[in-house]
Amino acid sequence: MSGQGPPVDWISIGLGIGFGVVVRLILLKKDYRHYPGYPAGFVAQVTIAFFAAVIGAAFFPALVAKEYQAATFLVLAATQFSGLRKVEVDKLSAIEQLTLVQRGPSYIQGIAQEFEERNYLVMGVAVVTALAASLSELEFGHLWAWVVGGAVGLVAMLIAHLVKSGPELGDVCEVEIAPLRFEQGSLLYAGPVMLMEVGLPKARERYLKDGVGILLTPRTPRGAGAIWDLGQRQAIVYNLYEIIGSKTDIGYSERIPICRMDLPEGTGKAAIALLPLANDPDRILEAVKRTPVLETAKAHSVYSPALIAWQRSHEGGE
Amino acid sequence: MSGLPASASIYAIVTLKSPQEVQGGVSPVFYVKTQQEQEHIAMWLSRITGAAVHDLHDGTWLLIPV
Repeated sequence: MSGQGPPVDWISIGLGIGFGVVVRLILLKKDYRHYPGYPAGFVAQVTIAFFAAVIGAAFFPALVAKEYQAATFLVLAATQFSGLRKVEVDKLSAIEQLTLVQRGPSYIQGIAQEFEERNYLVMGVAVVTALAASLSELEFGHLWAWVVGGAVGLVAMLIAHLVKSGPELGDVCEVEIAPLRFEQGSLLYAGPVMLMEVGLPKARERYLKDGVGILLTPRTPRGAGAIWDLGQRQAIVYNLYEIIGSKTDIGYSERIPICRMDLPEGTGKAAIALLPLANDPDRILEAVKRTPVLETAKAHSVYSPALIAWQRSHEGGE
Repeated sequence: MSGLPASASIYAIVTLKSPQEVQGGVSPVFYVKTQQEQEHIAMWLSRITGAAVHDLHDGTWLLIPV
């Protein structure tokens, strides 16, 4: 800022940047289950978070110093974060071309949106922290700037942690292991749900020997709406493939894990068949439960006719 | 692979039936004599082409690209 103006407000800017970067580090910890990869993605995300924190922290001190040009420029810089989402989408979509189990567009958009959103959270925490520190410094002096700035920063971090992401599948659906079996010779069932037709006898033997079935029963309307969404089901299958692994490769298409609804009845249940690398039921259930409920799968929770039927049947039954 | 079938095409047909009963339109037909031979041919075709084997339960198996 210019030399003629008031002295630079280092305490508030420093606190803002500090809390901003720390909040990103905390949120990143939860991320690395699926994304970003270490260390390149980690460095990139923390660096971008640092920029977001600088923008947020410098915003209010710039206004106080009557540096309006600087303040508007910072707002302009903030629009760059939506560009980040586009980059994430492009990158993840490019990777999709050479995978056996794809994330699917819904999951990719969800991940990219979450990365964008987290930079805004960083910026928000930095703005609020710097604002509180700055105001209390003007009113009460240096010491109070540290105390109030620190306290407000902690509260902002807590709030950011609460709104960081939506529910996980385990919050809205009952997830359990279901036995695999074949009916009419070749129809693969997991519990009550018919999944697919497996024509090769050897493939059927493999499913009976190594396969694991997982049954999803919606517990809330949100869960019912979510698993009717194809993108959501692909995200679940992708998470299983990514975390647990699947005994499949090119040329073994019947082994690719799938998730299907209980049809023709349409009870709202869904099931998955998987040939896991290691048959550890606890981990398999955990991988399914920790799949994020996608934002794009939300519309169904309100508009899906299947959901309305589900709600009616539950109201009627109780 | 994304969950939706890419197309409804049939890659190949492996059948125990006679050429009079099953004929190829756009996809080749492999006529076999025994169930064992059928399994053998279908599995090889599946591994080579990446197509999935489906059973029509009338002695005819279809290979459908995934």
